[in-house]
Amino acid sequence: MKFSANDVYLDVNEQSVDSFLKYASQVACNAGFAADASELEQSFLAREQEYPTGLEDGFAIPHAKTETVKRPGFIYFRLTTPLDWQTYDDKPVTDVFALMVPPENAGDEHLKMLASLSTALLEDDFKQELRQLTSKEEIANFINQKIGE
Amino acid sequence: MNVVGVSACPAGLAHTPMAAKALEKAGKELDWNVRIEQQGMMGPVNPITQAEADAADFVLIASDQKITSMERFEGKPIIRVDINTCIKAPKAVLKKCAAAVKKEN
Repeated sequence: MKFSANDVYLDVNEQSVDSFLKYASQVACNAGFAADASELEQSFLAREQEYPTGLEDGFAIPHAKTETVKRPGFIYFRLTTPLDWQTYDDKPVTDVFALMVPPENAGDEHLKMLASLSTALLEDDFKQELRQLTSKEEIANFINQKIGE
Repeated sequence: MNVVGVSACPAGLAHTPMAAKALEKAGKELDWNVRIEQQGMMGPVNPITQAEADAADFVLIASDQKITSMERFEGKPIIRVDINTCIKAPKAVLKKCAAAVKKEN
């Protein structure tokens, strides 16, 4: 299971959480993660309404769990405009990992990868090192190295 | 302190393992024995055995979801805490729970 440099999006500029999730859903569909962008977007929005997925230090992990997901996995977005996302420490969000799975048969390998990514976000070192990387390849290699452990 | 518990979130994807890891890490820092079972999309991960449940001072349920196999914990003090609070402030959650349990006894 590898996270690809193609699934890293830098300099993303959206003005609100909702417009970002719409954009992210379209990107995910174009990249083959899901079939229907609007269904994917609805799933992201429903999860945010249940409880916002903002974490600490400018990170958020919106997730979609819907039939329209064809390829379980995640996309990393780095934002140029910090978003006013509800977070644990009230800091705005600049880094987003969008997680996507189908409701059934996501595959343990994929689920483990998403679990490793989520728990990596509890580590200050992971967040700080990730932020220092500027190329998509470096970012993908770093993430693979950290969550493959 | 000897603590067992279960974490579970709506999707069973990210917050479940995050809460478990955050609480276990906080346990290490406090020098307590903390073990959290994850009830997520993968089914039970790191399941709590009956023997572990019996030895626990209290049971921490990091969830507002329905938890399976609660019968393991019969007779033990059970405390439910919001899963986001457990991720955000795991050490404070453990200490508060322990204080509450001590007060009861």
